[in-house]
Amino acid sequence: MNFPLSFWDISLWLSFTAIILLITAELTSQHGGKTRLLIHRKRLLQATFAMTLLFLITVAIYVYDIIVSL
Amino acid sequence: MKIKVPFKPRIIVAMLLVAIILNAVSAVLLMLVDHVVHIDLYNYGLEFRNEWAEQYWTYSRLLMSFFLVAIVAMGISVASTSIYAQSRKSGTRQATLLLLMLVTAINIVSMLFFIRIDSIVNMDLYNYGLQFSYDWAVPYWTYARLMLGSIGLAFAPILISLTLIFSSAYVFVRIDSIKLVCITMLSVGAILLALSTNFSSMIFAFVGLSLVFWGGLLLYIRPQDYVKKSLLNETVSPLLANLDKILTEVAYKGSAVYLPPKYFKDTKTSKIYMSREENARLPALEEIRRRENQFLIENPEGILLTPPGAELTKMLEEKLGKNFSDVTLEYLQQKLPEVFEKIEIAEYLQIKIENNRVSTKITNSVFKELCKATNPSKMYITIGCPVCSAIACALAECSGRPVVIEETRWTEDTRIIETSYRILEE
Repeated sequence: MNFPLSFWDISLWLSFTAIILLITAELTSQHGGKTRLLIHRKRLLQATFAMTLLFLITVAIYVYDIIVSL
Repeated sequence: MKIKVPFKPRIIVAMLLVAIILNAVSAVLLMLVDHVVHIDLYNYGLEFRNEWAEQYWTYSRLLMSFFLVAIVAMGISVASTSIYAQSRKSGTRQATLLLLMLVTAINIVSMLFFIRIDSIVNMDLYNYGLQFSYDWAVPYWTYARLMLGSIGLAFAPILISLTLIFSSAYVFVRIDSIKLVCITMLSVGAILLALSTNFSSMIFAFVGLSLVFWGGLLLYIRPQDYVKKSLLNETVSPLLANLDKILTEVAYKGSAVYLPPKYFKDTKTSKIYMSREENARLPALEEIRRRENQFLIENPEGILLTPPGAELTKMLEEKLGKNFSDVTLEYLQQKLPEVFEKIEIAEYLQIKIENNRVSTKITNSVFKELCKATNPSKMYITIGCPVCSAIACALAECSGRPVVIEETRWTEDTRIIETSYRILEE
């Protein structure tokens, strides 16, 4: 009864999701994007930044682990 | 998405009759199963003992009683449905709903009881000398499966009737399709995540995690208060046309002057003054204050109007969190384009300030169709479209001086609108 995803798997998933969200946010942006899409752009940006931040935190944890293990 | 659900008593009665027939068939099949157990099985070595017989009889009698109760309850439901169709009393409807829920519960319990009887026949009776043979097993299995099948089939018409009666209270059922999709994604994702823990499956975990995330995200970013642009134009254009007609009829020759808040007792007021004669002086501050709630001004003769962009200016102030009378023109030059983009009034706004002249360039305004409609009327030239008018109100508030729209130019497709404003000396 263990959760099958490891920390590394979650980090990978976060990176993919963050990239998809960043591209979506850019494509739907006000400047040259698809502006007629009826979504809450500000909230999309918030979610994008949150996912990117979470991914960077996982990267930082990895870097810290590598430094500590040296 | 909207679904109309009218009350259809004929369909409900037909469904209930089908359910009654299926329950009656189940009762007959139970009697046939009972015949196999009590007559045929003794020919295959079964010995009678109270240990199994009492248990079997209890379940069997309960099951038969349940079938009878369900049939009676559905009979009453048929009657109450007919009464509801005539009288439309909510009490009758609720009674029918309760009876049908009771029937559903009875059918579920009946299935469980029959599974218990089946386990007695297929497991316990072998301890009392019963020998297996296809001669008794085949008819028993046939009757048992048919019975379970008919109980199961009876669920469908009962549930359809329940749904039809339940939804008939609402003429329109509004289903938010986006919300429905999001909630489905969240639910399926949560189930998959739970299953992934149970089966240690990475695929389930990834799919579940993604479904939960995207379901939640879609629910979070879905729009709430958007209306179609065409609807906005269709609503605003008659009001502007009326204003234009009034101005044409009264034939006032002066330019529209956007007055700053100091001209009014209520500093939140935005109004324009238009004089009867061309190049007439502005009325005295006291004269306007005395007549600020009136349409006509006497000295010099003119009219006071609420500009089309007055409310839009208040909205811009609200979004900026600042009163325009408390900020400088430079602040307005910097912040107004940001707010325009944020609330999507226009794709791009550029403001240039040169002494007492301010020029703006608006790209892809939401009101650009209105420019086509009102162009080149008196109202559009001197008062401006709602966006230009809002900017003029903001300039008057910010500078504390009267403002006029000097010139408005637009490209053929009205994608770009350039407007020049002049801040007047008092």
